[in-house]
This record gives sequence, structure tokens and C-alpha cells, in this order.
Amino acid sequence: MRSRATLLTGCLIVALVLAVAAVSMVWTPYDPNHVDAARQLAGAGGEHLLGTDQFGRDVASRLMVGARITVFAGVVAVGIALLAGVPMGVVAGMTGGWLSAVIMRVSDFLLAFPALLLAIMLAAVYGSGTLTAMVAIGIASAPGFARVSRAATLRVMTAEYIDAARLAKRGRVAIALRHVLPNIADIVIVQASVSFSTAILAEAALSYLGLGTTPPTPSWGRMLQESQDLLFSTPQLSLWPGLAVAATVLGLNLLGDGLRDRVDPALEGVR
Amino acid sequence: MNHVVRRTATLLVSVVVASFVVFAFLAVLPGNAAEVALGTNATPAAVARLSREFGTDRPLLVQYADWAQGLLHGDFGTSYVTHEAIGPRIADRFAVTAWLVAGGMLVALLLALPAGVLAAAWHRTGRGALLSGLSQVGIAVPAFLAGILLVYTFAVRAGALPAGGYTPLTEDAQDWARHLVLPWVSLGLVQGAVLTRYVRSALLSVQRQDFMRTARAKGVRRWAALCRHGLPNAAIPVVTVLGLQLSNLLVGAIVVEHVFVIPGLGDLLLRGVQDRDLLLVQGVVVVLVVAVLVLNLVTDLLYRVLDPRLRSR
Amino acid sequence: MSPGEPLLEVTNLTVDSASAQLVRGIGFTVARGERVGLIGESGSGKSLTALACLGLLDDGLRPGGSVRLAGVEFDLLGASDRQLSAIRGKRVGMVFQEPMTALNPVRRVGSQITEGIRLHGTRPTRRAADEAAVELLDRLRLPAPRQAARSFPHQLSGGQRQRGVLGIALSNDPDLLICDEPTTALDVTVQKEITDLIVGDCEERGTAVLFISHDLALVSSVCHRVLVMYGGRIVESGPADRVLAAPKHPYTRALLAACDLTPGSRARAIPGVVPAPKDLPAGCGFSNRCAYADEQCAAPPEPTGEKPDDTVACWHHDALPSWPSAAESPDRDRTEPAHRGKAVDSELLLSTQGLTRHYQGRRTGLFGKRPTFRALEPIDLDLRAGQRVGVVGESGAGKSTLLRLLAGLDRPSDGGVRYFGRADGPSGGAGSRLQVVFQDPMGSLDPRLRVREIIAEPLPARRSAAARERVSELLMAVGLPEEAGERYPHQLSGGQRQRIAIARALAPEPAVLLADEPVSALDVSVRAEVLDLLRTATTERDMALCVISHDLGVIRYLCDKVLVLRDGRLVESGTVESVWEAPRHPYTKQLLAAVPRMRY
Repeated sequence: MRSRATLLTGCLIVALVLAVAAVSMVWTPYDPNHVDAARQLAGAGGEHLLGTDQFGRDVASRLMVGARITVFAGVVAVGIALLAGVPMGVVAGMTGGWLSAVIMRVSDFLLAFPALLLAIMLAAVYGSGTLTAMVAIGIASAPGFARVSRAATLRVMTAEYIDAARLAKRGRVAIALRHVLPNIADIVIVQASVSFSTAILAEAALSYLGLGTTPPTPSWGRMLQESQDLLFSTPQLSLWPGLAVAATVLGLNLLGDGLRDRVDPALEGVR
Repeated sequence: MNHVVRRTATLLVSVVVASFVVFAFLAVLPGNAAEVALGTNATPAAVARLSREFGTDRPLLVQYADWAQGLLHGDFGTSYVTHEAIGPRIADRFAVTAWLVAGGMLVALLLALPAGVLAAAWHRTGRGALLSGLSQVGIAVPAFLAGILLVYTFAVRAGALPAGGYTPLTEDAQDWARHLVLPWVSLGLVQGAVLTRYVRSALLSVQRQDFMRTARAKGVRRWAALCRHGLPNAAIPVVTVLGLQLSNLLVGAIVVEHVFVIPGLGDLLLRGVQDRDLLLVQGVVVVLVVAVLVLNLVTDLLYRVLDPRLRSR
Repeated sequence: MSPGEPLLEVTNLTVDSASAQLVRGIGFTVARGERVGLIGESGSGKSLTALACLGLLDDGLRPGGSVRLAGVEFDLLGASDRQLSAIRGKRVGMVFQEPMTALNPVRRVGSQITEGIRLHGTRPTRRAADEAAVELLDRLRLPAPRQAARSFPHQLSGGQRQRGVLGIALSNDPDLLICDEPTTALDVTVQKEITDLIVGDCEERGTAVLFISHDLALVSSVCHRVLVMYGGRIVESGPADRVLAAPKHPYTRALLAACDLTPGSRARAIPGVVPAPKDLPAGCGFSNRCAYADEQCAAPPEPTGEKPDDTVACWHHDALPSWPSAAESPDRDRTEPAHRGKAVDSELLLSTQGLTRHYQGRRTGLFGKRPTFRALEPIDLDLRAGQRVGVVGESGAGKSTLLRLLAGLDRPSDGGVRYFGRADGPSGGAGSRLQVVFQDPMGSLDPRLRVREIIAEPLPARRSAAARERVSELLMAVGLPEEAGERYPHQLSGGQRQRIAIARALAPEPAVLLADEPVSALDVSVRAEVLDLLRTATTERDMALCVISHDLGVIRYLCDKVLVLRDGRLVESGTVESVWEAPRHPYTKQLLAAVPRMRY
């Protein structure tokens, strides 16, 4: 019962973020990058729903565009990790032997490069940018997908329906597509929702460090960095983007937890 | 014993490969060190001269061998940008980051162990739901945001603690601690929240095991069973996570150092990136990656100590 | 302390989950020194009853009623954890089904026993407790008890671990021992050792036993008195000889009939499936599967009988025909078409020459040699059309290895299999002319596919109209309605799933059918129907059948020829009759002697 509520709350929050991101593509209350010297640090309410920042830019509009950047960042990172990691894991799980050993060694090795560190390295070489950061985070998240899908594949491969399929003269590719992928899909989806939130956190952290999304594009992490100096005078400027990051990550984690409980109640709370 | 030897050998190979990957990654970047140092208007002749001086015109493997040989003696080379020796700078900063990470881990453990045990014991009750809800929120707050919030609450509003900066332990222990309290808490809160969930779920799955029922059936009380039979078994999956947690903390430290203006490895790394001081970046990244590998080895060995089923293999 | 005095008294016990009542008001007593059997299929509520008595139910389950133990002034239900802890392990010991998981994997076996001794303070010092634990393990005939006490659970075999669990339960000389399916997970020879041990030790010390099992023959060999549970109620109770020899309740009678695998006849399965607790009919829980049910059964029948410990809960128990009635006993008239003997010179479908499987183990040292694990030593066997061969053996005998080699799912390390007279490579194999029915019907059906797609899998053109028609035909052949094809495996019962697995195996019209423990994952009441289906399907189509099982009764019921394997070696082979009547190898004799037989 509670896992249902968890799932529902997660879905609602994630849907809200997606909706805001979608709306921001066609409409925002103000131009998010319009500098209005006359209206610096306006309070919330009134003409500007959430007020303006030190340059007189509309905070609500910037938050909306930030949602878009966040979703974009998550999609790119998870997409890369998924496309690289799942085939690696399935192949390793189905073949065994040296190929599996090599794949798992490579993925173990990649684990020694935490996402943020890889992103900083890439930023040092190619300069900062959302895409660079996300490629780095995607690569760093791939081993997670490889491990999860390998473990799931190994479990599926011990099932007798795989033997039955072999007796029915199905080839390896057919078994992978018809039996393995559908049966590991739910576990991979759970991993994707967890990775999505990791990617968002990493993007926010990188932007905060000035190594992610470049100005003037608004991103939540960047907004936090710009507002930190004004923490003494106008703390609410830090509040909104902070709340946005935390709520989105919370939503994704709740979604992941709810899904996981449906996939396998025995796995409750395990990454 | 065998296993220790094998794992240590794997570690050494990984360190060599990792250092090479880091080196190659930063060596093949567009625009070599000399170009970067001289700026965009440099003549090709000047670039070539400086390249020779830096040694960057040699084959990649030779350069790597040279650099790696230096690493073995703690010589990280001399910065092309500041012309300072990099090794001593890293050594200075390493201690700061190590203190930060160790304290953060301690806070996380102090938080997660009781919270996780209680959340598992109160599973299905309102109090348990509240605890696991709180841990969900804790996970969702990025460390730097926690840092900003803590600064606002304790430094800006209450004025009780410094908002940033660092005093070495050797100079003034009390001041050292005062400067580190908020960074520790901001690192520890988040990782503690993550760990709480692992402790809780490990305990919950252990609680469902048959041997817990055996323990209860021989007359062990509910709480005693949880602590005497549950925790030692739950510790096994938790320790595996601890390895990952430590590397998360190491990376989290980079960001938290930025929030609190602490002169640690992260600060050094970011400065290197800003100045495009690649040799410096290379050095710091290698140190961090080796730290992650070593921490993973330690947790892996600890894991075997805890689980007799693995020991006898 | 006189025997006969009531020790445990359970009255009107209920167990409720959030959605249904799982135990529906049961009452029974266990006298001092008495061994009482609690019989029931999965889902009958028998394990919950035992757990409820000691307050060990999971958090989500609520007990009701009363449980009294002699010499304890409070009701065990509703007592505090502190009060119950003083009784658990001291007055009442408990043994669980799964010896593999019942011991804490990170603590030594000895310390797990001494923990209980120290807790109840029955030995003054730690040293005395340690000594007591070793003595106990010795008493439970564990070889090298001192060493076993120092071992971790994973270093012991299943039977040794179960002795450890038994040691924990008996460590404080309890008055009552509750055993929940204590030998179900064990090999039959080990099962005999453990049950002999339980009976012997408890007899000697006057310990009462509540013995929970689904195995009627086992219960008959252990218990004085039995209680039969169905759908959360006790439907019949009485002395073991009375209940098992002259059962009064239709369920007990049906269960006995279903278990009776007399060769050469057809066992009678209980129609329908065990309903989920929330789907049980109101009134008599068995009424929807009962041949004698009428409108009266819509009201719940009370247990009635001349004596309080000899009861039956059925409105019609007086009106039933006398046992064994022709309609309920195995059908001896409808025996299969005579085909025995014909197999001798029929077509040779499959033969093995020196078929061997050795595995290389893990390297023990850095430079050590890899140990060789001999899963199957060279074996020669022939399988002819119409022949039905059983392979019997305990865990580690190499049965499954043999099956996987025959099916081409594994490669032999030496020797080979000739299919249909050709020497095909193992990967080329027998093609779709050889099919397998696997042990676990849940695991052998892909949960993501519909039944129709599962059955069509071995067919050449899966989506063609011909394939559709063939699937419908097969569904009918295995006795399932057409619409079952549109379901997913999890929507079906265990017996239905195994029928689907059989339908899939029959789909490509194989010449050889291999069956790996085809009924061991099923409830007793549906075993017979699956066995009959296997038998008719292979006989009608003149197939060769090779059945692998640990259950001698299954082999005897289904096969004409039997191979006995032990530790990867063939120790005996012959016709089923000859091996049964006059086993030659000592191991076969031991195996046959270990099978629990109905005592009454």
C-alpha cells in the first residue's frame, strides 16, 4: 500500500518537472536572460512571481528553463549509460568465459573514476558545457548498468525457460531479444531512474562549480552558485533552485523505489 | 591469504592502467601544454622550443614512463603555469581532504547506524515511515546545497560558526574543528541518509531470513536478535556499499571544499582546471583515483573478514 | 509428568492477514510425550499454526484465540516478548524446514547452540555450555561433533546442518518439539536418519512432538495422532491408524487416494486447485472440490466425534461410502494399453557410449592443481521407442547432469550420445525430436510470454495459422481450456503450469521426452494428474520417456525400467519390478528402506 503512494508521489513530481520543462520551450513569463537594471532583487509576488535576481532577471522563468536543462542532462547521461551498459551486461551475462571477464574488468575499472571526477577531467580538456558534462556522467554511470544487467541476465539464464528455448532451437540473439531483455527490463528501468537522479545531482554540482552549463543559460546549479554571495541579504534566491533540485531528485528516487517494490518486493531499498 | 595477494596484484595493475589512462587522456588534448602556456598568438617556432623544454615533443610512452617514474618517488613534475613543484602542493592539500572525508564518514556512520536500525525495527509503523521519509529527503539534497543551508543557518543567522576557511590542525586544534564542523555535517548528512537506507534495507532483508526465526525460537528477544544475529549479517552488504560511499565522499569533498573555501585537493583540482594547468590536474586526478582504488580494496578485504563463507574459499 | 496429561492446549486459534483469514479457528491438544502430526498442503495454514503458538508470526499477521502450555499461568497468545522468550527454546523447541538457511551463516554452529543454553541459564558456565553443545551434537550422531561445533554452517551438509538446528531446539530438554517440515529439503536416506533421530530422542526423553508435514506416509511413521488441515481449518483429527486407515472426511480420503501411486493403475487427483485464502468458499472450505458437497455445506461444519480427540468436520461423513470405496481408490480397471515388453526390439532412439561429465573446480592455491569434480562417470544406456526409463538418485548423484547431457544442454567431457542412430555432435543434438519437461513449472515458463506463445515456441512457423491450430489442439490434449492460451503463467496454478510445460514439449511431436523431477514442485493433490498426463501422452504417441526423480514412488508409477545413480555412478539397473522386489546393490536396498511407507 505504501509503495503505491511512493510510486504515485514520485510520478507526480517527475511529471510536473517534465511538464514545466516542456512548457518552457514555448512559453516563459519573461525572457529568462533579460537583464532589467531597474528591477534588481525584486521580492516574490507582484509582477515577478518568484522575484528577480541581482541582474533583474525573472527567477520563475529561469527556473523553468533550468528544468529543461535538467531533463536534457538526465536524458543524455542515462541514454549513454543505458546504450553502453546494458549490451555490455547482457553479453557478459550470456556468454561467460573470457569475454565476460574482460567486460567486467573494464566496468570495474571505470568505477574507479567517479562521475564528477571524470566530468572535471573532460571539462579540463574540452572546456565546460552541459553536453561535455553529461557525456562524462553517462560514461561513469555505464558500469552500474552493466553490473545490474549482468546480474539480472545471469539470473534469467539459470531459468529453465532459457533451456526450453534452446531446445526449441532458438539462437542466442533470439533468446536475448525474446527472453532476456523483456525479463531484465524492469530492473534496468529502476536503475535508469536512480541514474537519472544521480545525473541531475552531478549536473547541479558541476554547474555550481562553474564546470557545467555555461552562462547565460540558466541551470539550477548555476543559479545556486550565483546566489551564494547574496546569502546574507537575499537567501530566498538560493531557496528556489535548491528546492527545485531536491524535489526533482526526491521525485525520481521515490519513483525508483516504488518501481523496485513492484519489480521485487524483496529488494526494497537496495540500489 | 591467496585472495589478498591476488587482489593486491589487481590493484597494482589497475593503478598502472589508471595512471596511463589519465595521462593519455590529458596528453592528447587539443592544443598541447606549450600552446596553452604561450597563449593563442605564439609563433610555431616558440611553441616548438617550449615543447622541447617541457619534453612534450617526445613520444607519448616515453613521456608517460618519465612521469610515472617520477610518481614513484612522489615527484609529480613542475607546473607549466606556476613553475612550482606539484608534489608538495598535493601532499599539503591531501591531509586537509583526508580530514574532511574521514570526519564526513564518521558523521555519516553515527547518523546512519542508529537511524537505519530504528527504521528497520519500526518498519510498518509511523515512526519508521517518518525516518525513511527523512532519509529520502536527505538523499535528495545535494551536499553543496546542504552546505549552503548550513552556512545560512549556523553562520549567517546564528553566527556561531565560521562560514568558510581553514586553520591547520597543528596551529589551533579548536579553530580547526570549528572550521570543519559544517563541512563534516554537510558531507555526512547526505551520505548518512544514503547509508541509512542501506542499513535499513539490509536489516529488513536479514529479518526475513530463517535464521532470525531460529534465533527467536531459542528464546532470543526481538531486539537482541536484531543486534546479535541481524547486524553482523546486515553488515556484509552495507560494507560493500561503504566502499562506494567513500569514493562518493571523496568526490563530494571537491564540491564541499568549494562551498566552504577549504584549501583541499578539490580546490587545487578546480584551480588547475581554471588555469589549464594540466600537469597539476593530472597529478590530483591520479591521487584521487588511486585513493578510490585503495579504499575499494580495503572494503573488499573487510567484506571477507565479515563473511566466513568467502573466507574459506 | 505422567504421559497423557495435556501439555499444549490450543483453542479457537485464528490468524488474520490484512486481506484474509488464514487460520480459521482451530483447536487441538498435545499430551506429554505424544507425537501429533499436522498434515496439510501448501496454504493450508499448518506452518502459521505452529508459528502462532510461539508468537513468531510475521508483523503483518494477527493471531486470536488461546494457546496454553502446562505449567505456564499466562496465555501464550498476547504474552509479551519477554514472557515468551523465557518459554521459547526452554519449554518448546522448534525445527524449521530449510536447514540451509535456518542457521546464522556468520556464526559457528556450536556458538549458536550454546547461545540458547546460556540464555536460559541451564548450564552454569560458558565451558559447561560448550561441553553440553558438543555432547548434544554427539547424541544427534554428528560425526566428529567437536569439529562440527567449530564449523560454520556452510561447511556442513544439509543433514548435518539439520542436526545442528535440532541441537538448538533440544539444547534445554524442552517438553515440546515443534518440527515444521523438518526433512522436506533433505534426501530420502537423510530424511530417514533425521526422523529416526527425532522419534528416538523424543521417545527416550518423553518429549512431545508437533510434526508438520505434507507427507502422509512420513507422518504415519512418526506420529501417534494426526490432524488434517485444509483451508485454515482442521477437517479431521484422530489416532493415526484410524485417520489413515479409515478416513472420514472427503478431503482426507481424496488426499490419501491422490498419494496412492500403485503401479499399473491410475491415481485419482483431487479436482480443482487449492484456493487462495480469500477465495475459499464460505462454510466448508473443501465444498467447491468435494464430490459429496450440497447446499448444506454452505454452512461451516463443526468438528464432531465420540471423543474430543477423534473428530471430523463434515456434514456428510456418516453418509459416505465405506473406505476404500471404488470411486475413491486408484482406478485399476483403466490401466494403460499393454505395451510392456514391446519396447525391447522397437526403434533405438537414443544411446550413449561412455557418456562422462567431469568439471574442473576452482584452483585451490595460486599454483595448485584444479580439483576435478566427477559429476557423471561413464555411462551407457539405450532408449527405445515406447520405453519408459526412470533415473533415481539423491542430490549429487548426477541425475540432472545426465539429463542435460542427453538433452544437449551440456557438453560431455568424454563419450557421446547417438540420436536416432546418427552420431550427431552434442550441439547438433536431437533437434526438436527431443524435448524436456523441467522441474519448476514457474521457472520453465517465461513470465513475459502468453501461454499460447510459450507452447508455440518449438514450432517452426510460430505465427502461422497451422501453429495456432496446433496450440489449440495441444491445450485440449493436456486438459486445459482454449482461453488458457491468452493467459500469463503467473495467472495459473502450479499443476496447470506443468501441463503447459508438457504441451510445449509435445508441440514438435518429439520422439523422446525427458522429464526432470516433473512433480516435485507440485502439491500432492495434483501430482497424480500430471503423472497420468505424462504417461498417456507418451503411450499414445509411442514416445520414449526418461524420467529423473528423487522420488522412488514416481519412478515406480511411471516407468518400466529404472537406473539407480549414486555419486555420478550407475549402481544398479533393471526392470522396475525386479529392482523393487529384489534389489541387488546395497545402496538400492538402503534407498528403498528409507522411503517412508504408509503404516496403516
